[in-house]
Amino acid sequence: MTHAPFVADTMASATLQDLGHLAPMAIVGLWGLLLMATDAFAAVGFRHFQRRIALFGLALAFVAGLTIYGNADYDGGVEVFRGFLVVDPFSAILDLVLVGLCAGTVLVAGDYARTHRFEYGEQESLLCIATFGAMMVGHAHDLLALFLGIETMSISVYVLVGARWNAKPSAEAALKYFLMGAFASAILLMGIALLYGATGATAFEGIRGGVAEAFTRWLRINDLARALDQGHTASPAASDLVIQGVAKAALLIPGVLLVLGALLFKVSAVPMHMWTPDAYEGAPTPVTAFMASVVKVAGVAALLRLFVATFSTHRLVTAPYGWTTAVALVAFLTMTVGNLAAVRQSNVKRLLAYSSIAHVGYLLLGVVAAANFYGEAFASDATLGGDGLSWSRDAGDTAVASVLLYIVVYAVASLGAFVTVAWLSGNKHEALEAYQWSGLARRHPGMALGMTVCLLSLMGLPPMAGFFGKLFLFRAVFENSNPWLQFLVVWALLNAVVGAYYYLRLVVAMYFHTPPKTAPVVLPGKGAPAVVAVTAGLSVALGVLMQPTLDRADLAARAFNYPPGPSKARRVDGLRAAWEARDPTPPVAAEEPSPGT
Amino acid sequence: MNHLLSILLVLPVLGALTTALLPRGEDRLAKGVGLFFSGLAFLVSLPLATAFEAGRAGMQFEERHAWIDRFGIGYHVGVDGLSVWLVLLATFLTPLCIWGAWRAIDHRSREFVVSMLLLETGMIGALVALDLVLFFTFWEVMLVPMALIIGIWGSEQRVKAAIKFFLYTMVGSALMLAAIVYLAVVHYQVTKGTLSFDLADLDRVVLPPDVQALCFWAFVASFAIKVPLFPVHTWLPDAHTQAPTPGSVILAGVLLKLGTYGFIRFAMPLFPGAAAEAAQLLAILAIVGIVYGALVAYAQSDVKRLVAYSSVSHMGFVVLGIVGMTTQGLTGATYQSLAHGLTTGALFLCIGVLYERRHTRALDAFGGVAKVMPIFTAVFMIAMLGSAGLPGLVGFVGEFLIMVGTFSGSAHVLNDPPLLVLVAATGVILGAVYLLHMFQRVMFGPITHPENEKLRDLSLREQLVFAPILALIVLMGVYPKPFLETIDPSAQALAAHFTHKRCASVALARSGASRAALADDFAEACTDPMAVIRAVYGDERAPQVSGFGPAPRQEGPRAP
Repeated sequence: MTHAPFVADTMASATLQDLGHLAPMAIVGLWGLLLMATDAFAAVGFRHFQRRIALFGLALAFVAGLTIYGNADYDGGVEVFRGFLVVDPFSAILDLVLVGLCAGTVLVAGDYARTHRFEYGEQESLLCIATFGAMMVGHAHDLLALFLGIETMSISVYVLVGARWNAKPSAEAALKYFLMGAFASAILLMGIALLYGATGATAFEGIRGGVAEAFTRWLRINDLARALDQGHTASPAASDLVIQGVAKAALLIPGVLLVLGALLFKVSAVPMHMWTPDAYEGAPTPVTAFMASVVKVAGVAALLRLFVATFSTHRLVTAPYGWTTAVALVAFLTMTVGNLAAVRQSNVKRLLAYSSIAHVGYLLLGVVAAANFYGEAFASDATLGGDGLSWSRDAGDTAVASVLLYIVVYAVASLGAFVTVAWLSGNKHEALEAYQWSGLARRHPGMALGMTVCLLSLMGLPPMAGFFGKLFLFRAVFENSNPWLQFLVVWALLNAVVGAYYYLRLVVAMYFHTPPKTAPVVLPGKGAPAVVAVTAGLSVALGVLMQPTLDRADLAARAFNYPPGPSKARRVDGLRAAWEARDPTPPVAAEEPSPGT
Repeated sequence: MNHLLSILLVLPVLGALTTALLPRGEDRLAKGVGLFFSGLAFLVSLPLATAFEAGRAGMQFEERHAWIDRFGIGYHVGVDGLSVWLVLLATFLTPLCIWGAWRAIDHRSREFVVSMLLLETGMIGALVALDLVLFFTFWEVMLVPMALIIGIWGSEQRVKAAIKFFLYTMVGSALMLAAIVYLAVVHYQVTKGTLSFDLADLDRVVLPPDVQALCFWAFVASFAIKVPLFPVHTWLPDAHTQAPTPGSVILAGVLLKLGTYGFIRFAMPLFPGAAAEAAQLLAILAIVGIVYGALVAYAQSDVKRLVAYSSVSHMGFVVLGIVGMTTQGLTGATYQSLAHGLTTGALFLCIGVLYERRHTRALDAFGGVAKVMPIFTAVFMIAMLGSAGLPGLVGFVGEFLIMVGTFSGSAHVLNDPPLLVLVAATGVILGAVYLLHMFQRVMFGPITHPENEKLRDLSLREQLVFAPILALIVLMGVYPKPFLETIDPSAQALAAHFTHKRCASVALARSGASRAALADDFAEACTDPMAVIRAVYGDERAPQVSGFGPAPRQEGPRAP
């Protein structure tokens, strides 16, 4: 170590500064560790000890997230830890959402574990660490950061799934999820290694450049091959070129596909969805809620960050090297299989698990649309308006905003639905069959209403937020001139009707059937009702007050595939300026003072 | 009074919130609050009738605010002659339904009132919305309360009927939503970057033939199910039979009208080229519905099912009036909508009266009721004759206008209009047959069932519920002028607009362009739209397989 002390000082201060940018994520991670420590001091009689500490930390992280969320300094994206992670409006929104979803889980998980007699002190800690991993995915600006985030999240969730040691399905689910997840992680790592070999970089920006270079070489080889065909003799330089070029190009596409497969596994797209219903069913229900919300958000964030923003060069989204056709096909299968399988389920948790698969199908359509637009933006493109704004790029940004909106709206409603399931399991058995929900509207009108609102939002019925999520998502896909994608939108809408059928079965049971003689036993405590009230409220409020929500999503998606820097900041600032010019009362966040940097 | 429609939309929601906060078990109080708010909404809506400028075609009471500006979705409401009376019908029938259900709904009244009031907001909203997303929102908002009303307070098979109703409607609206989104995207591209879901904006888009047909049928899927048009009518008898009386009244009175209203306001003017091509098929389906509905109604042994099938028959007339796209046809269709709302609403209330007393709807269970319930007999007779289209009562005016409009065929849309009218007219006769048959079996003859000897006649409350409806049935039959005066200009404007835009569609198709365009681009080509259409279709209108306009004929044009 030959560093002079002052170098270490600047490094330390740079690190501190970076941590400041990452405050919400850092706090959540730190709290995960802190909770491990406090667990040692949690007295048996002092039941809510861990939960209170966790909630305090999450509240702290949320406040920290708010200061970054509204801050124009981050518009252009701030790279931290030498470009390992990035802080931009997109990650700021995800931070808030993930912290909120984690808090929702924490509020229920303790009560549930106590009721089902598998209380353990590490639960809150693991939830925080998993959320930390998910947030890292949202911030990822490097393949390794992406991998670390996914692994941190996944390993914690494996433990959470298997934590219910007194029930066999939990162990089975954990083992299944762990084995398959471990394979997926290995595949992800292999893909990353190939990508590194092909492009010589792990940072997203480097990969972008590397991809372009690999294709350039590949084309030159094609030219060379044509020349050889015509009888020219190869020079040593040419054979060098062939070796370098072939090697890189040969690694690139398999790398992309391996990473794609692993990420599709994480979001449980068909045909990599087999683990989902079992893991969702076996896991303690609050953990299922966590998987259906936090883990899904992280998976979609990874797809957006890596595939939509990075692997969206023209050649990577068009035939013959494009990945988008494959994903469109996967989307088709995912929504169809998810919905049809959900119809056949009698178990509520499995039903919601399959429905979550179906929603991933809709989301993947948006992912494809966004990537296609960005791909077009690299090719010749018409400009929109006087400022040279590219139509395709703008459409891509809109599509990303729609995907972001949809996943958030979905996660909120999904959390509410699963928490209601968890709440209805007070006597050590869970109410998992639809008939056990009979007449809930008469015994517990409030909770039944909350559950219904969440289900209607998942169904996509206006004026719930889920409807607008679907509307904007499908609008974005329709904007693609590809008739197959347009057909898929119609298909998705018909799928949504199938979805309406199975969600309706629960609503029918709750409202139309007479309640059984014995009242269902529900979880003690106010945690679950509070979560359901908030998620149902958000499902309505986000729908009716869609414009402010959209503004934020727009900001996050604006210039989404630009590298962080001044040009991105310019475009995002342009959006802020446009708002302020249009609206006499500018968004509150835009006026907030920036935190000391 | 610019906020009149908004107040009208908010009032029932306020009422629903108030009712929801009432303590459980306060049945009478809940219904009272519901009656108060819906009655208030009716009073508030009266200026629509008095302050409405007759003779003006455009939108009145218009209001516009930004809602989701990012995608050009606005809160834009307004009424014209084609919708104003339907709004009044909704506000008129809702309090009567709640009042009429005073005894019929005896459990969970609070939830019932909340559902009714939310349903009222949904119905009014769908009638006044001039933004397609706003319209779709209200269109779907109606769904949940109506399904609840059928599913909770209905008869034995209520849950099945509720689910059937919900899913049928969902399938239709899914397709319509796809078409709406597509249209908005095309508008965005054609106008080079203007995002809008406003009806007036989207109306400027002219789609190329194949896409236009797809979009038209997507809209038709939604509206035809609601009407219901012949092959997709099967949810209606179940829903009607299983629904409680107020549910049936609202369903027949207003909800079905939203289907035909959707044709008038959205499907026909947005896609005129495709609509003109499809008109013949739709007209035939409507006529099949008229005759088939009437025949099936005659065969029913359940009174409520009988009236439900009569709805299929009567709504067929409305569709027939619309697809011809003539001024008289549109006016007649709107008038017939009102007539059907009043007469069928009254008939369902009558059946509700019988059901409350006897708890059966079977025709066999009655007979000789006239002897014990004279007032009721009179009420039932007026409603029944109104429904049968007796001249001098409300049903006649609409049916007559529809047949006149279709017969004239002035919009050059239908083939062989006289034949269509001839078949449709048999529906009127059949209507008289099954309605009189029902009336005779219920009212006359000896009293075969001893239970029927002690039936109570109408109570004062019931008489008061029926009185305004019967008054309107007679009034609108004797003196339709004030109503027709407001409907006619809008109908005329719509028919003209339709012809004009149809000409633009034809011009676009003939220019060979595969991309959409704006209607304004064809202003010059369509200075005399009828001439262009005649030039393309010949004097006789011939349906085409692809594109708009005939394929080149082998032989010369047929003699007219």
